[in-house]
Amino acid sequence: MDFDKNKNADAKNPIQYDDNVKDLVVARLETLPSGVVISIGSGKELTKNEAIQSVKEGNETGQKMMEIEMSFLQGLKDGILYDEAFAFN
Amino acid sequence: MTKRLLLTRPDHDYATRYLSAWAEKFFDLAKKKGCSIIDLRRERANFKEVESVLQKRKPCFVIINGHGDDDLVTGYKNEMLLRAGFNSSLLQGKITYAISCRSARVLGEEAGQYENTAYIGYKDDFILIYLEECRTRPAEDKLAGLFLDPSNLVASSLLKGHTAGKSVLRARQEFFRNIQKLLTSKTKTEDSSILRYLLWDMKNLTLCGNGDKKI
Repeated sequence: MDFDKNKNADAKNPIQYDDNVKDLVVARLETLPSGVVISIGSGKELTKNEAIQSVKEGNETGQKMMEIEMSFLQGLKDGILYDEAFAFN
Repeated sequence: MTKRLLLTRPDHDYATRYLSAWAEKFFDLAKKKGCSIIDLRRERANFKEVESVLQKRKPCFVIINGHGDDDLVTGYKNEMLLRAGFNSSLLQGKITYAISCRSARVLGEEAGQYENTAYIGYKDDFILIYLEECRTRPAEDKLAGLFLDPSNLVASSLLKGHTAGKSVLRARQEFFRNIQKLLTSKTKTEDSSILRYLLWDMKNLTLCGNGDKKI
């Protein structure tokens, strides 16, 4: 199984995403429960609204949020959940 | 001979407080398995103490709870504890599990090159989702448990005598079980939305070095 679809992206130099992706990720972050905190990276802790804001601003944390989201969507497209179920059962 | 487990547990921010609280959950198992725990908590999770314990008391199992980067892991107030190209050789002959961001990329790769050594860590950011209302009692946060129970399974599997490779596999299976739970129709849509982060942690959990090694 190849998890590393974004192998060429460095953790500190993530892929730059366009505005369509940004809008998509914001929409998906809106589905997070309120009252959650996302601990990401070294000491960064974001509420749902702060996560959405970081994506809109396109800062380093926002880029990471987009990378995670796109990795998940790409994984779904590639059937990662089915692959995992097959591998673990 | 008593096996020694070195554990670092800084708690200077919410993320480290969660890791520290959840690490206590396998203390009983460690004692039951005859392990002596060297618990470097709060300000004791510093460079000097970690280096001294690794050199003099020679633990066979090292658990680092803290922040990190590609080439390092940190302790209390983000003081560097172990860095690639500097003191990674202190991990030689041991199993290390680093619950921190990205350290498997460079530090883990380097440590894993040493003979009879295993380094388990995350090759990208370790994501933890928790409930704001549980910040003061992190051990009771069931949402955080979806992330920290699978993570703790690495340590408990090793303590039960599994190999490093098998322990990583079991932890990934546990991540996946939690993902499956969130996919069922009984789960609220908003709760299902966190599964993307579980998948992220599952895929970034990595073993470097000797997968057959046991503690």
